[in-house]
Amino acid sequence: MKNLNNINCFDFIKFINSKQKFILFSFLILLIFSFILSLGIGSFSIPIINLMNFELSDLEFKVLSEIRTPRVLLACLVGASLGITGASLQGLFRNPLADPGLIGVSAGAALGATFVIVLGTKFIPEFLFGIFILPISAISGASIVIFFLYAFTSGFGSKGTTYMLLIGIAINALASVIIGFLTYVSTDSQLRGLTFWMMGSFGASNWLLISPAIILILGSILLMLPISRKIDVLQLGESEALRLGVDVQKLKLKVVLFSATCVGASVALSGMIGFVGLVVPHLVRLIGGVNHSFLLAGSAILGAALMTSADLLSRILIQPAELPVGLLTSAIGAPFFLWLIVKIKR
Amino acid sequence: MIKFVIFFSFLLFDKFSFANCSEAKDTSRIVVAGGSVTEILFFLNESKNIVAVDTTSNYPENAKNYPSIGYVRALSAEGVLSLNPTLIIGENDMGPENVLEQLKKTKIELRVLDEKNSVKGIQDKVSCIASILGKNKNGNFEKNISLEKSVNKLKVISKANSKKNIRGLVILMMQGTSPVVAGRNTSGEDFLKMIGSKNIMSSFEGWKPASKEAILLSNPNFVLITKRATKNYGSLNSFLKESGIEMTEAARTQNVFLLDGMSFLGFGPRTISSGLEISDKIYEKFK
Repeated sequence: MKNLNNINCFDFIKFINSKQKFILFSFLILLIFSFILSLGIGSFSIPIINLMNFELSDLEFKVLSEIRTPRVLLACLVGASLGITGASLQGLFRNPLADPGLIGVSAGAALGATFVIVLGTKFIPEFLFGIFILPISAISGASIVIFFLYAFTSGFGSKGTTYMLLIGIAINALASVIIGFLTYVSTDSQLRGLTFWMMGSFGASNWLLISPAIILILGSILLMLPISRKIDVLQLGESEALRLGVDVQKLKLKVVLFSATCVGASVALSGMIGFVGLVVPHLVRLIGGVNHSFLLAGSAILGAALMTSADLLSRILIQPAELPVGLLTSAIGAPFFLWLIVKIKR
Repeated sequence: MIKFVIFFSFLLFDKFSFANCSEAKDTSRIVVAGGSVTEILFFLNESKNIVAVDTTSNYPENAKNYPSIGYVRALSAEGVLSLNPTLIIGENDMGPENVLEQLKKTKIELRVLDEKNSVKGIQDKVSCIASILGKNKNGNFEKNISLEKSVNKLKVISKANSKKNIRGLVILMMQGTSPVVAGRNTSGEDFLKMIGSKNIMSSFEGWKPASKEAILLSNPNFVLITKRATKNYGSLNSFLKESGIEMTEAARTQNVFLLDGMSFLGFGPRTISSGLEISDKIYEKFK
């Protein structure tokens, strides 16, 4: 335990036993399978044979490269980011009900997006318009929340996690009020756009938008995995962890910052997608175990697989129209989760 | 027997008086609930007696200067009554129901207009409002004549268009989701019908996000986009790129038209002129 603070980047793998490695591998297969399936299926049919022989027509190639691929990638990233964030926040707060929305970051992002959707054309100077305006505003909303969180908790955590939890709840409530007010003053068509955005969608994705997200989300995930062992130690309680040589304050700072980055980027590009962040970690725990080295990696992979499949269904179920993906993640995940709980508790 | 007939006709009268177009007793203070009603009052040059409008009344520009009674579907009886109106004219979707009941119990005249999203519907609305204001002498009022002209022109072009099987798409907005387009039973589809074209997204009902791929697949001949939709994107080209419309035949043949949302979806007099404008264009382009 002595060298807990200078754990090497990939040392966390040592704490995953072989059964868990097998489970992670299966998750990965699931992810690859759903990824390929998502690339192959869509309302615009692209024959697999053409794809294999690289004999795509110009339009087919464009649909695949500019519409479908960035969309599937984004679904993958957001799923992974929500999964791992949920797992690490549940670990940090030692609370099974923690989810990415809890620290108020997604509410902040939603507020930023709502601001653009409802008031965008009034209060934002014209030269800022463009495809980035919605995500940038959402990210700013998330950043403001992180800043407040940091200020109120004097650097995330000198006052304990419960305090931070309460601050998060208060910020959530505040953001909801402002969103509610903006909803009230919005016009019919804005309201419609807002509703669809709130239910989540990967429909707006393209390469330009997702490239910053790839860096932010992948970076955060890679930085979060190595601290997973310390989250394990934290389960003994903050003072115990401190005595065992974990810099608790720094750990909190890291977990909150990386989570906030992940969630901010995800919400900015895809709206509010529930369920994945809360339940995927529980699923992974029920299947394979509670150590965070396994849990974090597992939640990221399974979250990505679930999200990719949900997005595939959202595209093809009622085509040409699209079901909001947030509805589908819950529709797929909830019954399965229920079945799993009942089966295990029996 | 006579008593019975009188009683019965009263019942009938009561039922129909609600939506009737007979001349109102006192038009000195008018409260309007519905964007197209406000538009028509201005169209008829009868805006001088308006005391308040709802939040959907944003055309013409100076309609926004009136006190607001709130959103047309969520009015409050007290707010409306506080303006001391003598006449309330509202659109079909005016509500909620219990507020309408409360308003009916007062002695103030309440007229809720029938709504039909068609050329005939617009004409009926205009002449109904003219009648309520006492300006309609058997259809002979100045503005009706000019409207009639445009309508007749529109009918001819639209009929010619409908023989060519032109397929259109209406995009309402795109904000962090796939483009939200007009499905079945929307004002967007009604507009497409009005100019003699088909709606390519008629397989689902209402305004819904449609995936970019599906839009490409259905390949519309022309696309109508609301101005507001493109506003946050800076330029039309940037919007076309992001929405994937760029790849459709409509964009390649430059058949993408930008319109003010309310002007073509509001089904007031402006919708006739927007209809004329667009139907003219597609008539020229699709021989």
